[in-house]
Amino acid sequence: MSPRHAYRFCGLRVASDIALGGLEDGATEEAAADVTVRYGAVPSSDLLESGARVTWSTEGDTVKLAIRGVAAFSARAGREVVVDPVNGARERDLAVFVQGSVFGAIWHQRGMLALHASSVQVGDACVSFAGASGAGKSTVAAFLTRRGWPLVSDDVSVLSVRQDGPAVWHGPARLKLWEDGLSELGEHPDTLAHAGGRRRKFHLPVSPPVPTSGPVPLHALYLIEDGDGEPRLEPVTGLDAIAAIVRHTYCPEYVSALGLAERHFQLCVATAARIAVLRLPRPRGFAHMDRVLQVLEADWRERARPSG
Amino acid sequence: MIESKAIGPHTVIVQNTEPIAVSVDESIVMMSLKQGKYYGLDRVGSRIWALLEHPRSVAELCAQLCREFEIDEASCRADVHEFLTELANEKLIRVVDEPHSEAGAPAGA
Repeated sequence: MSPRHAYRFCGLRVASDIALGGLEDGATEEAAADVTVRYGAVPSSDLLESGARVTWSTEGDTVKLAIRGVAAFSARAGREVVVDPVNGARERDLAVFVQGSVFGAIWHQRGMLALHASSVQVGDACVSFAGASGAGKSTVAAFLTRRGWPLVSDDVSVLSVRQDGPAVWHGPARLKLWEDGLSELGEHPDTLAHAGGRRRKFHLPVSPPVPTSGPVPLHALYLIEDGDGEPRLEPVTGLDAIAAIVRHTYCPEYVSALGLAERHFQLCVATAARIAVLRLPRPRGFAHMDRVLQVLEADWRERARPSG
Repeated sequence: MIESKAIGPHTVIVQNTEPIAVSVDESIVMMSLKQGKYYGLDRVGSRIWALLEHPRSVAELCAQLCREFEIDEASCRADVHEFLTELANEKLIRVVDEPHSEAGAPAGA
Protein backbone atom coordinates (compact mmCIF):
# COMPACT_ATOMS: atom_id res chain seq x y z
CA MET A 1 0.00 0.00 0.00
CA SER A 2 1.40 3.36 -0.91
CA PRO A 3 1.81 5.99 1.81
CA ARG A 4 -1.08 8.35 2.27
CA HIS A 5 0.95 11.55 2.57
CA ALA A 6 3.98 13.20 1.01
CA TYR A 7 5.85 16.13 2.51
CA ARG A 8 8.91 18.27 2.40
CA PHE A 9 10.14 18.32 5.98
CA CYS A 10 13.34 20.21 6.79
CA GLY A 11 14.88 19.48 3.42
CA LEU A 12 13.81 15.84 3.25
CA ARG A 13 11.14 14.28 1.05
CA VAL A 14 9.00 12.24 3.38
CA ALA A 15 6.44 9.62 2.36
CA SER A 16 4.27 8.97 5.41
CA ASP A 17 1.38 6.82 6.59
CA ILE A 18 0.87 9.41 9.34
CA ALA A 19 -0.42 12.94 8.76
CA LEU A 20 2.37 15.29 9.83
CA GLY A 21 1.68 18.76 11.18
CA GLY A 22 2.33 22.19 9.68
CA LEU A 23 3.42 20.83 6.31
CA GLU A 24 1.83 20.93 2.91
CA ASP A 25 0.74 17.53 1.65
CA GLY A 26 2.28 17.24 -1.80
CA ALA A 27 2.41 14.53 -4.40
CA THR A 28 5.85 13.03 -4.03
CA GLU A 29 6.41 9.65 -5.64
CA GLU A 30 7.28 7.13 -2.99
CA ALA A 31 10.31 6.08 -4.97
CA ALA A 32 11.67 9.61 -4.68
CA ALA A 33 11.24 9.87 -0.91
CA ASP A 34 14.32 10.33 1.28
CA VAL A 35 12.51 8.97 4.33
CA THR A 36 9.48 6.72 4.66
CA VAL A 37 7.26 6.68 7.72
CA ARG A 38 5.05 3.61 8.08
CA TYR A 39 3.09 1.64 10.62
CA GLY A 40 4.68 -1.63 11.66
CA ALA A 41 5.90 -3.70 14.56
CA VAL A 42 8.70 -2.29 16.71
CA PRO A 43 9.78 -4.86 19.29
CA SER A 44 10.16 -2.73 22.38
CA SER A 45 9.40 -4.87 25.40
CA ASP A 46 12.99 -4.27 26.57
CA LEU A 47 12.41 -0.51 26.53
CA LEU A 48 9.00 -0.54 28.15
CA GLU A 49 10.17 -2.68 31.06
CA SER A 50 12.03 0.25 32.57
CA GLY A 51 8.71 1.95 33.36
CA ALA A 52 10.00 5.38 32.39
CA ARG A 53 7.81 7.58 30.20
CA VAL A 54 10.46 7.91 27.53
CA THR A 55 13.08 5.25 26.87
CA TRP A 56 15.40 4.69 23.96
CA SER A 57 18.22 2.47 22.78
CA THR A 58 20.40 2.05 19.74
CA GLU A 59 21.34 -1.06 17.84
CA GLY A 60 23.69 -0.62 14.91
CA ASP A 61 22.31 2.17 12.75
CA THR A 62 18.87 2.08 14.37
CA VAL A 63 17.43 4.18 17.18
CA LYS A 64 14.45 2.74 19.04
CA LEU A 65 12.28 5.04 21.10
CA ALA A 66 9.33 4.12 23.31
CA ILE A 67 6.86 6.65 24.69
CA ARG A 68 4.65 5.08 27.33
CA GLY A 69 0.98 5.28 26.39
CA VAL A 70 1.74 6.50 22.86
CA ALA A 71 3.93 4.30 20.67
CA ALA A 72 7.24 2.66 20.01
CA PHE A 73 9.24 4.10 17.12
CA SER A 74 12.32 3.07 15.21
CA ALA A 75 14.50 5.23 12.98
CA ARG A 76 16.92 3.36 10.76
CA ALA A 77 19.86 4.56 8.67
CA GLY A 78 18.36 8.00 8.12
CA ARG A 79 15.76 6.51 5.78
CA GLU A 80 13.09 4.49 7.50
CA VAL A 81 10.75 5.27 10.38
CA VAL A 82 8.45 2.59 11.78
CA VAL A 83 5.63 3.53 14.16
CA ASP A 84 4.03 0.95 16.45
CA PRO A 85 1.20 2.76 18.30
CA VAL A 86 -0.51 1.59 21.46
CA ASN A 87 -4.25 1.01 21.20
CA GLY A 88 -6.14 4.26 20.99
CA ALA A 89 -3.12 6.46 20.32
CA ARG A 90 -4.07 9.61 18.43
CA GLU A 91 -2.44 10.25 15.08
CA ARG A 92 -1.74 13.84 16.08
CA ASP A 93 0.31 12.69 19.10
CA LEU A 94 2.21 10.22 16.95
CA ALA A 95 3.08 13.06 14.56
CA VAL A 96 4.43 15.18 17.42
CA PHE A 97 6.99 12.51 18.33
CA VAL A 98 7.78 11.59 14.73
CA GLN A 99 8.49 15.24 13.90
CA GLY A 100 10.49 15.61 17.11
CA SER A 101 12.73 12.96 18.65
CA VAL A 102 12.27 10.40 15.86
CA PHE A 103 13.45 12.74 13.12
CA GLY A 104 16.04 13.91 15.66
CA ALA A 105 17.61 10.50 15.10
CA ILE A 106 17.09 10.61 11.32
CA TRP A 107 18.92 13.95 11.00
CA HIS A 108 21.92 12.67 12.96
CA GLN A 109 21.97 9.48 10.90
CA ARG A 110 21.99 11.51 7.69
CA GLY A 111 24.86 13.76 8.81
CA MET A 112 22.68 16.85 9.12
CA LEU A 113 23.14 19.21 12.07
CA ALA A 114 19.90 19.78 13.97
CA LEU A 115 19.99 22.64 16.46
CA HIS A 116 17.46 23.29 19.19
CA ALA A 117 16.87 26.76 17.78
CA SER A 118 14.37 28.88 15.88
CA SER A 119 15.42 30.68 12.70
CA VAL A 120 14.19 33.68 10.74
CA GLN A 121 15.26 34.97 7.37
CA VAL A 122 17.21 38.22 7.14
CA GLY A 123 17.92 39.29 3.57
CA ASP A 124 19.30 36.34 1.64
CA ALA A 125 20.47 34.61 4.82
CA CYS A 126 19.03 33.58 8.15
CA VAL A 127 19.82 33.81 11.85
CA SER A 128 19.03 31.30 14.60
CA PHE A 129 18.00 31.69 18.23
CA ALA A 130 18.94 29.12 20.82
CA GLY A 131 18.54 29.10 24.56
CA ALA A 132 17.66 26.98 27.52
CA SER A 133 14.19 25.45 27.45
CA GLY A 134 11.73 28.27 28.01
CA ALA A 135 14.27 30.98 27.25
CA GLY A 136 12.06 32.38 24.53
CA LYS A 137 13.39 31.11 21.20
CA SER A 138 9.94 30.80 19.69
CA THR A 139 8.69 33.98 21.30
CA VAL A 140 11.49 36.06 19.82
CA ALA A 141 10.91 34.37 16.46
CA ALA A 142 7.17 35.10 16.73
CA PHE A 143 7.70 38.81 17.38
CA LEU A 144 10.21 38.96 14.53
CA THR A 145 7.79 37.36 12.07
CA ARG A 146 5.23 39.96 13.13
CA ARG A 147 7.74 42.61 12.11
CA GLY A 148 8.10 41.05 8.69
CA TRP A 149 11.11 38.75 9.09
CA PRO A 150 9.97 35.44 7.56
CA LEU A 151 10.12 32.31 9.68
CA VAL A 152 12.53 29.66 8.43
CA SER A 153 12.09 27.10 11.21
CA ASP A 154 10.74 27.06 14.74
CA ASP A 155 12.13 25.20 17.76
CA VAL A 156 14.39 22.94 15.74
CA SER A 157 16.56 24.21 12.88
CA VAL A 158 18.05 21.57 10.62
CA LEU A 159 21.27 22.47 8.85
CA SER A 160 23.19 21.04 5.99
CA VAL A 161 26.85 21.90 6.45
CA ARG A 162 28.47 22.22 3.06
CA GLN A 163 31.67 23.55 1.57
CA ASP A 164 30.13 27.00 1.18
CA GLY A 165 28.90 27.04 4.78
CA PRO A 166 25.99 25.94 6.94
CA ALA A 167 22.42 26.53 5.78
CA VAL A 168 19.03 25.98 7.42
CA TRP A 169 16.18 24.08 5.75
CA HIS A 170 12.64 25.39 5.99
CA GLY A 171 10.60 23.75 8.75
CA PRO A 172 6.83 23.68 9.23
CA ALA A 173 5.14 27.07 8.81
CA ARG A 174 4.10 27.44 12.43
CA LEU A 175 5.35 28.60 15.81
CA LYS A 176 4.99 26.68 19.06
CA LEU A 177 4.03 29.13 21.78
CA TRP A 178 2.83 29.28 25.35
CA GLU A 179 -0.52 30.87 26.08
CA ASP A 180 0.99 34.07 27.46
CA GLY A 181 3.11 34.61 24.37
CA LEU A 182 0.03 34.14 22.20
CA SER A 183 -2.03 36.70 24.07
CA GLU A 184 0.84 39.17 23.87
CA LEU A 185 0.68 38.71 20.10
CA GLY A 186 -3.08 39.20 20.15
CA GLU A 187 -3.86 35.54 19.45
CA HIS A 188 -6.17 33.27 21.39
CA PRO A 189 -5.41 29.59 22.15
CA ASP A 190 -9.02 28.51 21.48
CA THR A 191 -8.61 29.27 17.80
CA LEU A 192 -5.33 27.31 17.49
CA ALA A 193 -4.19 23.70 17.44
CA HIS A 194 -2.75 22.29 20.64
CA ALA A 195 0.92 21.40 20.10
CA GLY A 196 0.49 17.92 21.57
CA GLY A 197 1.86 16.45 24.74
CA ARG A 198 0.74 17.60 28.15
CA ARG A 199 1.82 21.19 28.08
CA ARG A 200 -0.21 24.30 27.37
CA LYS A 201 1.59 25.00 24.13
CA PHE A 202 -0.14 25.87 20.90
CA HIS A 203 0.73 26.09 17.23
CA LEU A 204 0.41 29.51 15.65
CA PRO A 205 0.39 29.20 11.87
CA VAL A 206 2.53 31.67 9.93
CA SER A 207 2.57 32.40 6.23
CA PRO A 208 4.35 29.59 4.42
CA PRO A 209 7.79 30.45 3.10
CA VAL A 210 8.36 31.59 -0.42
CA PRO A 211 9.33 28.32 -2.09
CA THR A 212 13.08 28.10 -2.51
CA SER A 213 15.10 25.36 -3.99
CA GLY A 214 17.48 25.00 -1.11
CA PRO A 215 18.35 25.82 2.47
CA VAL A 216 18.99 29.38 3.67
CA PRO A 217 22.61 30.26 4.53
CA LEU A 218 23.06 30.72 8.28
CA HIS A 219 24.95 33.86 9.31
CA ALA A 220 24.51 34.07 13.06
CA LEU A 221 23.44 32.13 16.13
CA TYR A 222 22.09 34.14 19.07
CA LEU A 223 22.12 32.57 22.52
CA ILE A 224 19.17 33.92 24.49
CA GLU A 225 20.00 34.16 28.20
CA ASP A 226 18.63 35.75 31.32
CA GLY A 227 20.46 38.93 32.18
CA ASP A 228 20.17 42.21 34.00
CA GLY A 229 20.06 45.63 32.44
CA GLU A 230 19.62 46.48 28.81
CA PRO A 231 19.45 43.66 26.26
CA ARG A 232 22.84 43.53 24.53
CA LEU A 233 24.98 41.36 22.28
CA GLU A 234 28.27 39.81 23.34
CA PRO A 235 30.33 37.96 20.73
CA VAL A 236 31.32 34.38 21.52
CA THR A 237 34.41 33.15 19.69
CA GLY A 238 36.82 30.26 19.29
CA LEU A 239 36.25 27.18 21.39
CA ASP A 240 33.32 28.80 23.20
CA ALA A 241 31.48 29.23 19.90
CA ILE A 242 32.04 25.56 19.07
CA ALA A 243 30.89 24.56 22.55
CA ALA A 244 27.69 26.60 22.15
CA ILE A 245 26.82 24.78 18.93
CA VAL A 246 27.51 21.40 20.53
CA ARG A 247 25.40 22.36 23.55
CA HIS A 248 22.41 23.41 21.47
CA THR A 249 22.37 20.30 19.32
CA TYR A 250 18.94 18.66 19.16
CA CYS A 251 18.70 15.10 20.56
CA PRO A 252 22.39 15.00 21.52
CA GLU A 253 21.97 11.70 23.35
CA TYR A 254 21.83 9.76 20.09
CA VAL A 255 25.16 11.10 18.81
CA SER A 256 27.61 8.97 20.79
CA ALA A 257 25.27 5.97 20.89
CA LEU A 258 25.21 5.93 17.08
CA GLY A 259 28.99 6.27 16.92
CA LEU A 260 28.66 9.67 15.26
CA ALA A 261 30.49 11.79 17.83
CA GLU A 262 33.42 12.66 15.61
CA ARG A 263 31.27 13.48 12.58
CA HIS A 264 28.96 15.60 14.71
CA PHE A 265 31.86 17.49 16.26
CA GLN A 266 33.23 18.15 12.78
CA LEU A 267 29.90 19.68 11.77
CA CYS A 268 29.91 21.91 14.86
CA VAL A 269 33.48 23.05 14.26
CA ALA A 270 32.81 23.73 10.58
CA THR A 271 29.66 25.68 11.46
CA ALA A 272 31.41 27.74 14.15
CA ALA A 273 34.05 28.70 11.61
CA ARG A 274 31.44 30.21 9.28
CA ILE A 275 28.91 31.99 11.50
CA ALA A 276 28.83 34.67 14.18
CA VAL A 277 27.84 33.40 17.62
CA LEU A 278 26.53 36.02 20.05
CA ARG A 279 25.14 35.88 23.55
CA LEU A 280 21.96 37.87 24.00
CA PRO A 281 21.45 38.54 27.72
CA ARG A 282 18.15 40.23 28.39
CA PRO A 283 15.70 40.61 31.28
CA ARG A 284 12.75 38.25 31.15
CA GLY A 285 9.31 39.55 30.28
CA PHE A 286 7.49 40.94 27.29
CA ALA A 287 8.09 44.51 28.48
CA HIS A 288 11.67 44.21 27.22
CA MET A 289 10.84 42.59 23.89
CA ASP A 290 10.93 45.84 21.92
CA ARG A 291 14.47 46.53 23.09
CA VAL A 292 15.52 42.98 22.20
CA LEU A 293 14.15 43.42 18.68
CA GLN A 294 15.87 46.80 18.32
CA VAL A 295 19.22 45.34 19.36
CA LEU A 296 18.83 42.50 16.85
CA GLU A 297 17.71 44.69 13.97
CA ALA A 298 20.57 47.11 14.63
CA ASP A 299 22.96 44.15 14.48
CA TRP A 300 21.54 43.03 11.13
CA ARG A 301 21.81 46.52 9.66
CA GLU A 302 25.49 46.46 10.53
CA ARG A 303 26.12 42.91 9.37
CA ALA A 304 24.12 42.54 6.23
CA ARG A 305 24.28 44.51 3.05
CA PRO A 306 20.97 46.26 2.67
CA SER A 307 18.99 44.27 0.13
CA GLY A 308 17.00 45.95 -2.60
CA MET B 1 48.42 4.73 37.98
CA ILE B 2 48.82 7.19 35.13
CA GLU B 3 48.92 10.20 37.42
CA SER B 4 51.72 8.82 39.53
CA LYS B 5 54.05 8.53 36.59
CA ALA B 6 56.35 11.44 35.81
CA ILE B 7 57.03 11.94 32.13
CA GLY B 8 60.67 11.34 31.23
CA PRO B 9 62.50 10.98 27.91
CA HIS B 10 61.84 7.26 27.76
CA THR B 11 58.20 7.41 28.75
CA VAL B 12 56.05 6.00 25.98
CA ILE B 13 52.90 7.94 25.33
CA VAL B 14 49.84 7.58 23.14
CA GLN B 15 46.59 9.49 22.49
CA ASN B 16 43.78 8.64 24.80
CA THR B 17 40.79 7.32 22.94
CA GLU B 18 38.22 9.51 24.62
CA PRO B 19 38.70 13.05 23.32
CA ILE B 20 37.16 13.68 19.93
CA ALA B 21 39.66 15.51 17.75
CA VAL B 22 39.06 17.11 14.39
CA SER B 23 41.46 19.13 12.28
CA VAL B 24 40.64 22.59 11.05
CA ASP B 25 43.11 24.02 8.55
CA GLU B 26 46.43 23.09 10.16
CA SER B 27 45.30 22.91 13.75
CA ILE B 28 43.35 20.45 15.86
CA VAL B 29 40.31 21.12 18.00
CA MET B 30 39.35 18.61 20.67
CA MET B 31 36.33 17.94 22.79
CA SER B 32 36.44 15.80 25.91
CA LEU B 33 32.99 14.75 26.98
CA LYS B 34 34.38 13.21 30.16
CA GLN B 35 36.14 16.42 31.14
CA GLY B 36 33.42 18.60 29.66
CA LYS B 37 36.13 20.71 28.06
CA TYR B 38 37.33 21.93 24.70
CA TYR B 39 40.91 22.34 23.56
CA GLY B 40 42.53 24.07 20.65
CA LEU B 41 46.05 23.09 19.64
CA ASP B 42 48.46 25.28 17.68
CA ARG B 43 50.47 24.03 14.70
CA VAL B 44 53.19 22.29 16.69
CA GLY B 45 50.75 20.99 19.28
CA SER B 46 48.60 19.58 16.50
CA ARG B 47 51.62 17.83 15.00
CA ILE B 48 52.48 16.33 18.38
CA TRP B 49 48.91 15.10 18.73
CA ALA B 50 49.04 13.51 15.27
CA LEU B 51 52.37 11.80 16.06
CA LEU B 52 50.86 10.34 19.21
CA GLU B 53 48.29 8.39 17.25
CA HIS B 54 50.74 5.53 17.78
CA PRO B 55 52.76 5.03 20.96
CA ARG B 56 56.07 6.92 20.97
CA SER B 57 58.68 7.77 23.53
CA VAL B 58 59.23 11.41 24.43
CA ALA B 59 62.74 11.20 23.02
CA GLU B 60 61.46 9.89 19.69
CA LEU B 61 58.84 12.58 19.60
CA CYS B 62 61.42 15.33 20.20
CA ALA B 63 63.75 13.95 17.58
CA GLN B 64 60.94 13.96 15.03
CA LEU B 65 59.87 17.51 15.93
CA CYS B 66 63.43 18.79 15.69
CA ARG B 67 63.64 17.40 12.15
CA GLU B 68 60.36 18.98 11.13
CA PHE B 69 60.42 22.36 12.85
CA GLU B 70 63.99 23.68 13.18
CA ILE B 71 63.88 23.92 16.96
CA ASP B 72 66.94 23.23 19.06
CA GLU B 73 66.77 20.04 21.01
CA ALA B 74 67.06 21.49 24.51
CA SER B 75 64.14 23.90 24.20
CA CYS B 76 62.15 21.30 22.27
CA ARG B 77 62.50 18.86 25.14
CA ALA B 78 61.49 21.46 27.70
CA ASP B 79 58.45 22.60 25.68
CA VAL B 80 57.37 19.09 24.82
CA HIS B 81 57.66 18.00 28.43
CA GLU B 82 55.47 20.87 29.57
CA PHE B 83 52.93 20.27 26.80
CA LEU B 84 52.71 16.52 27.44
CA THR B 85 52.30 17.09 31.17
CA GLU B 86 49.34 19.35 30.41
CA LEU B 87 47.82 16.79 28.07
CA ALA B 88 48.32 14.06 30.66
CA ASN B 89 46.72 16.20 33.38
CA GLU B 90 43.70 16.63 31.16
CA LYS B 91 43.75 12.87 30.46
CA LEU B 92 44.04 13.50 26.75
CA ILE B 93 47.05 11.18 26.51
CA ARG B 94 48.07 8.17 28.49
CA VAL B 95 51.36 6.59 29.42
CA VAL B 96 51.81 3.09 28.07
CA ASP B 97 54.24 0.78 29.76
CA GLU B 98 55.61 -1.05 26.81
CA PRO B 99 57.42 0.54 23.91
CA HIS B 100 55.53 0.31 20.63
CA SER B 101 56.36 -3.28 19.85
CA GLU B 102 52.86 -4.67 19.95
CA ALA B 103 51.40 -6.31 16.88
CA GLY B 104 49.45 -4.06 14.62
CA ALA B 105 51.46 -0.90 15.17
CA PRO B 106 52.61 0.01 11.69
CA ALA B 107 56.35 0.41 11.44
CA GLY B 108 57.44 3.82 10.25
CA ALA B 109 53.94 4.85 9.11
